[in-house]
Amino acid sequence: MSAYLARRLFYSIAVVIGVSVAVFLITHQLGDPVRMMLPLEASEEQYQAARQQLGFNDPVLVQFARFSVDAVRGDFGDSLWMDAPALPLVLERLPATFLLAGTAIIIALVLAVPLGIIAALKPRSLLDHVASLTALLGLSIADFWLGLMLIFIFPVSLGLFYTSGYGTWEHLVLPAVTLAARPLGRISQIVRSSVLDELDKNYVTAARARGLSEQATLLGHALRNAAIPIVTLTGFELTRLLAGFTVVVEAVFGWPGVGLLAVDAIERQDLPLLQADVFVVAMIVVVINLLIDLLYGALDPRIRY
Amino acid sequence: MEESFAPSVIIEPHTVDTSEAVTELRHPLLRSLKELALDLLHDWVAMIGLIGLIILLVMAVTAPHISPYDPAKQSLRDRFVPPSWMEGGSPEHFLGTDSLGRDLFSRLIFGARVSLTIGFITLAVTATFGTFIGVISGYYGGTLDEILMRWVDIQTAFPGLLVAITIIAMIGPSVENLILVLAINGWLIFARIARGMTLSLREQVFVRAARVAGCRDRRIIIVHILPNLISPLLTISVMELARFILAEAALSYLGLGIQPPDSSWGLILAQGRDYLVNAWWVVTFPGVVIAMTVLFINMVAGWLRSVSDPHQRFKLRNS
Repeated sequence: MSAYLARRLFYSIAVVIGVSVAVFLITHQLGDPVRMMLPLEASEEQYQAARQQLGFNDPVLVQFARFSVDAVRGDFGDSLWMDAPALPLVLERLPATFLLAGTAIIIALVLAVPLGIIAALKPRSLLDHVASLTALLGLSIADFWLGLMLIFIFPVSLGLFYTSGYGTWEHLVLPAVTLAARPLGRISQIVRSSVLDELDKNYVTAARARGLSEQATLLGHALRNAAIPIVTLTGFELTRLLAGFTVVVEAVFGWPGVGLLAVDAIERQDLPLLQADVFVVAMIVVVINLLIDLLYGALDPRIRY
Repeated sequence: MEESFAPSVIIEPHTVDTSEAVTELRHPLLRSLKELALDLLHDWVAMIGLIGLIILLVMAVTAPHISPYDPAKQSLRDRFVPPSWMEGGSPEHFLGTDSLGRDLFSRLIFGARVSLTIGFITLAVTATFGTFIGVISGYYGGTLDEILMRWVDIQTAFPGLLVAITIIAMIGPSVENLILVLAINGWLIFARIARGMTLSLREQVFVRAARVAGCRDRRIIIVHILPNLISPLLTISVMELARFILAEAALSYLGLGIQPPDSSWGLILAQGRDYLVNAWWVVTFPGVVIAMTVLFINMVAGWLRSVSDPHQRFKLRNS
């Protein structure tokens, strides 16, 4: 167990270093960050002075060392747009993103598990086809489009919920449903296939032979064994929501999370803020991945690290 | 942002007994067309997907000939004409017009060109690069394999879309840059699967025989290994194509993809966003087209997945 933990931690640290190098390369070496931070009318002398002052004329390794030390201290510079340290601005937005992604995953799970089980119990039936088609649709719809359609149907036409904003559960409904579509499709597919796999196995036949009710066989045996791929995928989907899909949905609904902050930072050419945002989200993804790995052992006693 | 609703067999090929699967996959190109067509007839879902996809491709290729209007032609007198079947609609504009009086149907046909082209080019780049890295890694093994696979692992843990928009923000939006950022995230899955398959193929009798017979590595890889990768990679390719089309739409929607005057489905949608209340059709139809395209692709992917799995194919034929 401890050897496994050590290996996982080592791996996580490698990812953190990889992310730092990538964020540094993207924000310091790609394009012209100094030009990006200066107002359009800045003269050539001002540009050169800013390059010198911000340290962009130093050797790359010196720049990277400075960036790393600052990152470890949580110092990503001051946001140009809000004129305050960048990191707290990002951290302040985190709860909104967690709330949105968490609600979306819960909605997806609550709908996807029954949907997948129904499909698996009667494969190739009409119900199975309907469930599979629902799953495929969830995967095929562009989330920002779904969001706009929901805005058109509910707030605009029916006067229900809100087009944007944050605060009450009524603000949360539409963005969370929008964000849930894709994980719903993926999770119900994996529930169907893993339950189907388990139902084919000998221990299920044995349970049935012992006279166990179909319900007890399913809930007590098959579903428990099918849980591992389902949990894995759910965790994976959660990281995917946090690592990207929330960006678009937050932009559609004006939801004040880290995704919208990134889009705003790009629009306002606010490099320190953007850099802090990407870094924080990457760290969260690393932590969640680590937690999922540790969860396996709890779910499946056969796994001994 | 890596898609992997691939069957577990493909995700971790070394954990299952691949000997049987590999024999089955040995001559994917030789399987008779008749047999493939038979499979297709048994699967109406795949049939719909394939026909739909072909229609879309033909539309994209023949866009200048079939589109009723120049997609960029503005006409301020004809702003916000509703679709033809609605009150106030005109038979001249089947799906209505946008805020500048441009014909929406023509714009969607031309948008198909851009969206599909970007999807296919990105796919070609990622599949080639990913397969190359994967095969090299799996075939030679050792330290090289360790380094390449750790690289893949680390990059997989990145927040893909967020990194993509950051890169675009730094280097500016253009078609080339769009393909670049999509490719940066897309090659990983090809590398991983190609490596897994190569690892097990490397130990197969026919590969060992080729080596004993004195074949060079390059010949073994090209003649004996690559053909066996086609079938599993084809399924992944189709699923990845769907993902690239969705990702392109999302980036264009955020203003970080295709730039006006060029147009793609995502951009048309974004341009209609501000007029959602008075002209719902400008937002609705591009989204419907995106969803249909991706749905068709996913339907074909489901079929490819089942034909490349002999057990599933048996079930399919006998049901």
